[in-house]
Amino acid sequence: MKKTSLLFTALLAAAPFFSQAATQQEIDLALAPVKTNADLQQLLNSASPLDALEQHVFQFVSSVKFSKKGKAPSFDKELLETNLSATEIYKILALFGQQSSISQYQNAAIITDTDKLLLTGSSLPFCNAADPIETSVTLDKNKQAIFGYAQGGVVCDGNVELTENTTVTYVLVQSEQSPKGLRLTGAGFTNPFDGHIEKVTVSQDGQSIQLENNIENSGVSKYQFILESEENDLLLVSPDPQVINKGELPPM
Amino acid sequence: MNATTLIQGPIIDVMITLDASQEPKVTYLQDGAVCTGSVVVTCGEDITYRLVNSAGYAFMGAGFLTPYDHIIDAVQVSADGQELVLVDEDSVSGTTKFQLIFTNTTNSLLLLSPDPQIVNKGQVPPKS
Repeated sequence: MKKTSLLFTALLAAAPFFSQAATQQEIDLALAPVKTNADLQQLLNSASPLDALEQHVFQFVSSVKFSKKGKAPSFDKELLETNLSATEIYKILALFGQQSSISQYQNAAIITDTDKLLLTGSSLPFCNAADPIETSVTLDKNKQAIFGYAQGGVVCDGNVELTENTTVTYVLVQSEQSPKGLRLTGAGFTNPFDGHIEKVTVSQDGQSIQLENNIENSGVSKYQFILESEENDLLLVSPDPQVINKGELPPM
Repeated sequence: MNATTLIQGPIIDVMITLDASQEPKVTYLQDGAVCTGSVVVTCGEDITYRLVNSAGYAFMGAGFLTPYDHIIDAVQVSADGQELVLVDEDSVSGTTKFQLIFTNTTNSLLLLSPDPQIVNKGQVPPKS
């Protein structure tokens, strides 16, 4: 119990920072220099961070899809990750107000200390437990699975903070880079007896998983998703997202 | 559980206990001595994990952060869930980390062990 309490305290202290991170993402999006196709075409007429893509620049530009106002555009992330350093990617992400998602580019080239700092020092905001959490699993060139979490196109860290009894839903989002036939089979806990999470349900098609908490048991529950695929017979486990049951804070 | 043609490698006893705070602790023992549960493999073999003194627990399987690295080729669990075998043909050199996954009779949640690891050393090529 001592370990859980310590971790809970540390995360409580970090909570304002995560709120700031969510706000920062919104600010970045609002101030992004490139918000439309016209902005993007204009950018191509002069020197820009896109020049780092060299012969791939038009392939990248054609992959950019702008969605609704206030939403982040989508683009070929793998093209960035396989051709550029972390700093070069960060500068391109900043064009679209997505620089806070740099930690998702863990396979980017690390050439300078800044590259290293960008890939190890960035933090993402909590996910919102009220909405399904889009969970992506992609294989990099070394066939290592990379987990990513997002909601409505905005990247989050996969963790949720709860103040009431809630059903947290994670939904698999498959892509061409996902392991073939990927399915969720369950979630595993380092302590299944702490009462933070009371029930785990996997959908019949293995494409979503729901966790039900009990807010009466304050603390942090760490869990890892367990998945199977048609790549082979071994089970894949995710790095650990977590649920934080905040419950009632004691009076000061 | 299917028998393989590989030689029998280490047999590691796995004991699950609850500490004073009711947190599960997973302990590994080999020949009665506490060990890390990690194994270094230099030739193809079956690595066996066997539950001991852990009433109410059973192996569900093993989970890997990198299941596609071909370091472990298959996982087999006995019908009674008391034994788990990692089949390692040692065809690929490298280190793989995995976590043992257990069911328990107290509730429906799965327990995960901290991660032991398998290191495939293979044959070191002769120096030219």
